[in-house]
Amino acid sequence: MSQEIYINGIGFVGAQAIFPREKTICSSFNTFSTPILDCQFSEYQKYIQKGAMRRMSSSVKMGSVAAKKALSDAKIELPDAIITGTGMGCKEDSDIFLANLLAQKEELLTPTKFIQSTHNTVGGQIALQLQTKVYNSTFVQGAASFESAILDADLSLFSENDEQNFLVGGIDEISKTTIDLHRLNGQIKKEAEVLNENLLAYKTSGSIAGEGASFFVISNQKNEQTYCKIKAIKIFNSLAEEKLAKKLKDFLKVNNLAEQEIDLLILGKNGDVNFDFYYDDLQRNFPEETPQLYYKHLIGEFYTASGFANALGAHILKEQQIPKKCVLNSTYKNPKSINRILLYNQYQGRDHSFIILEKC
Amino acid sequence: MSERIAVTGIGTISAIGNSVAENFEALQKSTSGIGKICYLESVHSDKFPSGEIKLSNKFLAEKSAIPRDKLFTRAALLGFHAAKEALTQADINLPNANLAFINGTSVGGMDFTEQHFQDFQEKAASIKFIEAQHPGFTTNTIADFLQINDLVSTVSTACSSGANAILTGAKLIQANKADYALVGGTDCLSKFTLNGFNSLKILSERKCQAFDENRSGLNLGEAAAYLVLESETQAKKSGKKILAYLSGFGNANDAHHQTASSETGEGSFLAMKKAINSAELSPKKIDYINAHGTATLNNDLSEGIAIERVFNEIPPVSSTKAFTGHTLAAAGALEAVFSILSLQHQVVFTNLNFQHKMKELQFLPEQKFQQRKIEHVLSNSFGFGGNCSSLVFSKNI
Repeated sequence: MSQEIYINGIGFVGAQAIFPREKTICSSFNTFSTPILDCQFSEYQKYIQKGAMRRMSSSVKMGSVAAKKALSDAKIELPDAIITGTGMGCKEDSDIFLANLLAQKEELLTPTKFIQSTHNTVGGQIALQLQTKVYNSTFVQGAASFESAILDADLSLFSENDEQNFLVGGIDEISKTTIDLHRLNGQIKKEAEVLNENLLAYKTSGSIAGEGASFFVISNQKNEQTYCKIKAIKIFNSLAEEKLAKKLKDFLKVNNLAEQEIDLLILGKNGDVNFDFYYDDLQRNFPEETPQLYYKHLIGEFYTASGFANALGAHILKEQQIPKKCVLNSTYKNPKSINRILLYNQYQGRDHSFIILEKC
Repeated sequence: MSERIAVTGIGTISAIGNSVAENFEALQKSTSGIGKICYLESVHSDKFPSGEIKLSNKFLAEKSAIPRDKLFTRAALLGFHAAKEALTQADINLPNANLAFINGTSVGGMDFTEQHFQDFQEKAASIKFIEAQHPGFTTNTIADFLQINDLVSTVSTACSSGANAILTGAKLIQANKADYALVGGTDCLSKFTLNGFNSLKILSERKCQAFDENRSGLNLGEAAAYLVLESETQAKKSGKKILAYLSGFGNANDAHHQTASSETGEGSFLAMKKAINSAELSPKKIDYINAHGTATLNNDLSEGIAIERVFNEIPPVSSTKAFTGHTLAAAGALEAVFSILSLQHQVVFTNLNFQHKMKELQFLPEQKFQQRKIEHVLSNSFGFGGNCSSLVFSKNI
């Protein structure tokens, strides 16, 4: 990190409930038996005016709520920057506009869906809702979209001396067309019934699909609202299996850390038998006592699912409790103190990222 | 700014040429690339003149020696072509160089998606094109073929994507996260965007007339353009030729409407202000403005008002959209290349097709290609979602 940066507020909507600051994340989780994990949040009217909501896509709705949650969690009214990441953007509107275009042979199209199809729609709509003209950017790099947004926040905070609070989030929505297509090309499991809690037992191709928005207030100031520090982030576009261990070593070394100083791992394991070996390999670099967690069985796989991992990690550091439902290794031992968490994510062998979260 | 950001390589392909030199020649001769659409299959191809690159995908692939079995979207073909030119000029050796790649794109692989959308379910051969739906796919394709493996990301802030990719790269260099940043954008013509802009009724059936009282909308275009950025210290140490400096950048949101710009041009005003301030300049030091100037009723009025708010004395202003069309996510990068050419050759470019002064504005855009003393150029890019970004390029002195 260029300078110290902190997570001071969190908001999440998706297949699991938002976890409020005062409650532990280890409480109850929703369970699913289909490979599609829709967002379970329903109280949009509490956050968004009814009139405005009618035209909003699910990305904009989920993003707006998560953003507002994060701001109020951090006790911030207006952020100093809005940075979003999304793998697919406002996919449903984009699919509808394209389907109409093809069906109507390019005639008599209305602009609404096109207007809302751009990937920066959520970031723009949040700026509009908050009436703020601050720095605003959107990253669309597959499974590194959210991480790119975090990296941009880090880079932008690099040159800032005054207190700055950035609103940084990741959003992806389920679109019917995309679900059909991702079934077709094997990104989603073929099984009609998939019990999410047994995700890793299937040993088949593909994962379960999810959607959601996770927003964070990232600040250069530590205060009473601070969950943890984001100590380091690194993105690799492509990484051969045999290079993973070396990249991990280099990353830890640059940050003056040894494997033993990582108290817990959070992995993006998604049950895809063709690609989970990356996580297996990484796990082998750490002692078997180190708690090794996963989370995509809870919220499904989507390009910005790793936002949830950051929320999970921040809660674990603050509460010093490990949610049992997320633990991968039965050999783990509860550390005396959880000071440092390593997050590792990739999707289909692409867009690998490491993040280290540290207790404050 | 702490460490100065040097530009050591530029590359482009647009409707006015397949290289930086060809683009400059067309700008010099005031030759527009706007014409009838030949390659994009659309029912509207006769109706809306556009800045289409008159090269087929097959030709582009062969020219770049891309194997037939590789899936290259048109945006990736254009992107690879332009990136290669920039990297060659900057003398970068991949995969060994510590280089970050930040690409801007709006629709990415939309050309594949719209071609195969209806037969994905029926044709097994189409399945491999499904992945092209997310913009990262196009960026990854370029990255793979160039052997860029580490930090690769894509910016998508509609028509300001290219400019935002450039300023993201500049921040990476300032923070010492990479030795080099390959930054810019690529977008190809697609039915999706052509019909999208048509549904908004902002496409002109004539050649576009930026900042003209009788302007009637934009012409779409396609392009790719990239810059290689590195720290001044590093560039000087290697004895490399510094083409220009990226001396300032600003990003702001108009927070007015999803697609329309505010009447006071607040977002563009703030972006220009921030960019000039971050370059530690006063507005009077800016010698030329390469405007966003899309020739829509809304943009040119809003941008024009914002320019008048920033500048007491307005420097030469021109939009080069009438040469290339509006190349969406590539525009900010393409016009960054043009801004650097303005500095290198000490010239300002023509605002083609201008006839009548806008009644709301005091200034007239440049009406001919001419020599000027140019030390600092401001380049504007604004997009849907209220995203406004401005860049300041300065001469190597």
